[in-house]
Amino acid sequence: MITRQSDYAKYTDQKLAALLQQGDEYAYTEIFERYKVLLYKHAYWLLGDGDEANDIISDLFLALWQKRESLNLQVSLSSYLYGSIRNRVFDLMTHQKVITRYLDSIREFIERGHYETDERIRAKELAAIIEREIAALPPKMRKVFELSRSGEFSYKEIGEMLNITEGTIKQQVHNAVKTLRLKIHSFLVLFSFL
Amino acid sequence: MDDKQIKSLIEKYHNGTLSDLEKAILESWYNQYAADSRLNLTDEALERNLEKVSSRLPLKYSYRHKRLWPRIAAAASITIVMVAGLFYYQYRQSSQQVNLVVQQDIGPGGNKAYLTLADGKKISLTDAANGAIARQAGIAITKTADGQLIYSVVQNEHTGTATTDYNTIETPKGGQYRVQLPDGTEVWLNAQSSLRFPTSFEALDERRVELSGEGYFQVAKNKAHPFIVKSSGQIVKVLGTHFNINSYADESATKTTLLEGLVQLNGQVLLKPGEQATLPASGGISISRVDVDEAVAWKNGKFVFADENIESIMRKLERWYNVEVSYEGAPPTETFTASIGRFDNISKILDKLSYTNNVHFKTEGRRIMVMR
Repeated sequence: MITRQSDYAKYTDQKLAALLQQGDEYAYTEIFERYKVLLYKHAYWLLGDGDEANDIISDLFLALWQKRESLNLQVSLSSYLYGSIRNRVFDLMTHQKVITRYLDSIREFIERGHYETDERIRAKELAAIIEREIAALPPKMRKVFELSRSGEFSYKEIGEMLNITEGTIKQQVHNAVKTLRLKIHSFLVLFSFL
Repeated sequence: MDDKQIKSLIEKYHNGTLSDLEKAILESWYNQYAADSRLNLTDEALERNLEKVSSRLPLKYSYRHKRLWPRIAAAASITIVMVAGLFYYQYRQSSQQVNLVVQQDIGPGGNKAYLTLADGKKISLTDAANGAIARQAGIAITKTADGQLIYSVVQNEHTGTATTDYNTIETPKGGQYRVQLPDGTEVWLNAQSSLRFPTSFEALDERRVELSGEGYFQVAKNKAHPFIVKSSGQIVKVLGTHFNINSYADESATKTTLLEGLVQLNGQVLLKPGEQATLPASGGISISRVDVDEAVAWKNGKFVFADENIESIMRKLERWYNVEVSYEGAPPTETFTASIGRFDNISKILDKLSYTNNVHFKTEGRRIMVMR
């Protein structure tokens, strides 16, 4: 029986996740290889600390391996990974010295009073950020995602869904958040999605 | 909202007790913060940190996109390093008192080998003078100054025999040698290795040799007569390439690394340059892309460790420095990355490793004790 690591580079995220659940070490390694740059940069931008970013990413992937059998993705693999980072960042923020970095930013944000109450849209916003970060990768690295993420929303599709053109997602995300007014039982949905 | 309230929000997120509204606030903020942030991260820092992260994970293989060391100028040879071995984990606990005595440093290995001729006669190449070593039918065996043995066909002299004579060159612990076979193929043998080969390929359809331990092969092109290397559990068929085979009995798998050309394993798998095939005793070949410089570092006079565990490193040092390694307590679990000359005294390598503070050594004579 022959296993080639390079074959796994062609598998979609969905296939890799399924193989991972079955305990496939190559799938696990490929998931790490595929996402390591994106996830590390993302964690670093949020934390501003290389060691903390290292801890979060390695904890995330250690847990991913340890919990592989019970992995039952309801969302895309990338959403799952980014969502994990978010949870871990918030966990880290329970520490006194970490939270002080963000207090000003959070306070200002709350004072502005505009937030997205629809969880699905928040997820889409995060997905748009992921897509933009992929688009910012060097061409070779970006190709891996384009080839292997059929079944996931492409960067263009996200752009279309959010009614924006490439390169202006950030601006649009902000505008979207701004125009949404805080209401209890809000049924305002700015974007329709498939 | 004051700081205290914000902190309690964070606590609630952690506990999962946030209301939908509170969750909306925090996650919306998070999206904005993530979208805005553009901290500077150099490629070097990124690479360095990803290496650290990789070393903590149970990855199948570790890819190296960037070179950590300058490319070692390699001769145009294909090295097949076959390391075959049945795995037996050597973990010796030592409870004896170790006396700290000022020891003489342990020097590196050198050009040492033994040659066994077809008639069983054994010659020490280490002690032999340069020049003609022996004559087998139609073949002259010559030792050159730099620890190399050359087999050359004697002109106008035919072997005359129907049977093919075999010679074996063996390196002890702390030895290495280079041999040039009658077809021009060059083989570098690492410590504790042996190569059995025919003295003449004239009568043969295939150029068949047997390897145990580690060998780097630079095979002379001859499409009509494929070059075949047999080692424990593996047969490599070569048409004219450079490859390294690492096949030691005390390593858990045979590793074949290809630098140039094309190689076929066990009649089924094709290996391409830059790839390494791993064949454990339990069977099942797996192929990965590797940094070939690491696999052939020994042939270029270096030790290159990349995220290597201490037991694997110590086994290599045992073979080359001819020392005995034992462990006090459980071996350190950390991995090590280093590049160091093979011809330095062992203290230089041990110092470099212990500088990480993840491992410490006690040396007594030719015995090295490893501890956390």
